[in-house]
Amino acid sequence: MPGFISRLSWVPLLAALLVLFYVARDFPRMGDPESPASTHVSPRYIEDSESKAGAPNMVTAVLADYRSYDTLGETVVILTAGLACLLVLGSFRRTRDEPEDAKLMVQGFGSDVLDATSRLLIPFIVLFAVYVVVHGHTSPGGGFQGGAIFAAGLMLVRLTRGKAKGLRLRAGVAVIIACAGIFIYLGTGLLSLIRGYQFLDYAALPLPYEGGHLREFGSLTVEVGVFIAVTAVLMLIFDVLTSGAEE
Amino acid sequence: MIAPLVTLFLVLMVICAIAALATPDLLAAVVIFGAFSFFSAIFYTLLGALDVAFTEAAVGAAITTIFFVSAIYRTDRKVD
Repeated sequence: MPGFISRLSWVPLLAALLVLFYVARDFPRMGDPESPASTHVSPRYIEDSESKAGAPNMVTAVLADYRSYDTLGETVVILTAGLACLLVLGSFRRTRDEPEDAKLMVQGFGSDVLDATSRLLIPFIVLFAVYVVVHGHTSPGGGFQGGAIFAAGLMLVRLTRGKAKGLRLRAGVAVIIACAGIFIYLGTGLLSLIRGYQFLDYAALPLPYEGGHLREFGSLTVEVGVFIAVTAVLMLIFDVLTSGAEE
Repeated sequence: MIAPLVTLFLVLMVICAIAALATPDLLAAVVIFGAFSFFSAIFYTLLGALDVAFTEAAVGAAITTIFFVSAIYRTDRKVD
């Protein structure tokens, strides 16, 4: 491997590895029942999440209900990443010395085989994405994964048939859709705030359900917001990467 | 029973990481990086972290691979 890493750069790598291994000795053993996380934190979530948050999948209960505020911040971080990509890459224009192949990313790679395969696959990918969002309470999944799968399906359309045939989404529109997703999330929180509860307390939602069932619908609303934001941001990044902000 | 499998996939991940660094062809490196993501997704599944594995498979293996490939298509495929 000649020159893929110059000789000097091994020194910080080795130092970082040494520090990492030294620190890792202090971690509790994997699955240790005596560790602080297993004695205080986990039992509460394991016992309460289904009855109180209405979600048999504890991970979703923690992400969309117990730690909903963190997830809101995370979604805003994703929007910020998309905006940063738009600002940095959006100003690039096509240059003459750009490789010939670069046009393929915009016009599509479409051959007959790709076209037929993608026609078969894409409906199922999109349907699976929606299933992942809606069913995220009882099986692994949620707004983020669903959004990523949905965006992957849309990117497949672009890659095979080109941007013109795919869902056309101008950069400004994508940003607005992403903001709308975050607004759904924020609106759920503000609604409970207006009705005299704490921010993002789903017990305040004006829906004809009670207890865990109501909270399940609250976190579903929030997950839909995350789904919309993630899909729009990923499509925005893809478009900006392949063709810049131009239309 | 699960420990040898965990070790196997960790070793495969290390091999993939070194191979991705060592290949001069960036497109090959991206594909190897996708394989790395899949191995880590299986690794998370073995540890019981299904949600993390799902995210890794969707984002690491699919979306980042597409992003890397589209970035390569606009620049140069070989490392100087």
